[in-house]
Amino acid sequence: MRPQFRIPLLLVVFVVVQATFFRRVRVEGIHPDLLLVVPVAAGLAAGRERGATLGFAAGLLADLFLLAPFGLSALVYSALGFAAGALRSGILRSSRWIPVVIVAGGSGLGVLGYAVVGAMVGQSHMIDSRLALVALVVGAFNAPLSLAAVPLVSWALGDAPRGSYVRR
Amino acid sequence: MAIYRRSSRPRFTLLVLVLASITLVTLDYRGTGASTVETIKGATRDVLAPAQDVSDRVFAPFGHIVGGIVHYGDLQEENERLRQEIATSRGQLNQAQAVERERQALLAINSLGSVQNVPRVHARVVSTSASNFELALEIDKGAEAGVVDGMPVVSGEGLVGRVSAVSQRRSTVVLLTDKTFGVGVVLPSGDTGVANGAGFHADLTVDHVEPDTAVAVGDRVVTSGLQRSLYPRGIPVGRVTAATARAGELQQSVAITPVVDLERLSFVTVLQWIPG
Repeated sequence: MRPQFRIPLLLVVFVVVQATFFRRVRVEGIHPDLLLVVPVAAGLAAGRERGATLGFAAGLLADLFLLAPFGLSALVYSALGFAAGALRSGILRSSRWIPVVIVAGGSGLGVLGYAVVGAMVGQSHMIDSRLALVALVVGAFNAPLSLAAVPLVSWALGDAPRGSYVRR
Repeated sequence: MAIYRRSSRPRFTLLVLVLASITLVTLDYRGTGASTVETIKGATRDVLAPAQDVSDRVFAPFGHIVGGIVHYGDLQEENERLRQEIATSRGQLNQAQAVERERQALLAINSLGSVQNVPRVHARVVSTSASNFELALEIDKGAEAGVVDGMPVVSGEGLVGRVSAVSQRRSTVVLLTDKTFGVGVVLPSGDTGVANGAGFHADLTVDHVEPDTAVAVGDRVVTSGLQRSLYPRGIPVGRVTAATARAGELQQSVAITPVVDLERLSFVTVLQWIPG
């Protein structure tokens, strides 16, 4: 199957799994966010550009289910995918735990970024005393999910380019 | 010698995506194209509805087993408490029925609306909020069943929230504890205020209660149903948990806890109330 078919298929599967199963898994009212894993995984697998692009697509899909302004998740996920891609080029050694840690941290940062950008567009209630807890729990939930999600995203992207570097 | 430099294309792509996102947020915020977005959102929810139903049947038993094991002690205590409450409620019901007959007669005389007369749609709760920043529920009834954005949602005990997004077969209900929620309420003294959601597991705050108003812990607060209110009068909202009037302040600090257990809702009722 070609990557142009695999990517939409994977995103749809992630949306269905998130909407039907992960919404039920809650700690203190907080659930995992599988779509938030996508930009980080894409950035790690394929660099800044594809991280941002896939983050934008995942964010738009996430926005379809939210009451917050449409495009808010797309904005944050794009930036997150780009940042994860930039981080990828700084990783000197390979370890199976590095993506887990980056997904956990990236997910937490994604939650914080979403709340901050949300507050900037009038959703000031997103920033409150619970925000740190939400970031922490989502990060902790998403970390183990990355063990399956990162290889799946890499598969969907096909032969990931070796970073966004050009030879002069 | 090979020299590597960073390509500027990824940064340009990010810039385009960020600008596209900001444009979408702006259009949605200003209401331009909002109906298109809402149509797409609704269609997506409807497409996913069958998958959610299947998932409900598959995963619900596992959830009940895990919940039963984890909360076994709590459930025993709760059963005992509920038995006592049923006994008390049966006694109160007889009294309430007599009072209700009188109230209906008075309302009829004054031509005032009552929650009993409002048409309703019963719905099953199929999911919780898709966001960690929204306190909401998804129900299995939508526009096809006559549900409209803004309608009040109640359970047998009292107010649950209001409908906030509607597709053909699904609706999203914002819970009264959500920070974006507000409802006009009336205290037993007859004074009115506005109850606002304060977030997960937090009591609602009631604003605009004058310092000299008599408020006691345990007082029942109901919707005020003032003119053109989004909610009919008399729906139980909560019970007062704290009321403090500090010297020099223009209003009392009143907190109420919802009468409805919002975490264990299986069925709700949408009131097809038209403000007016």
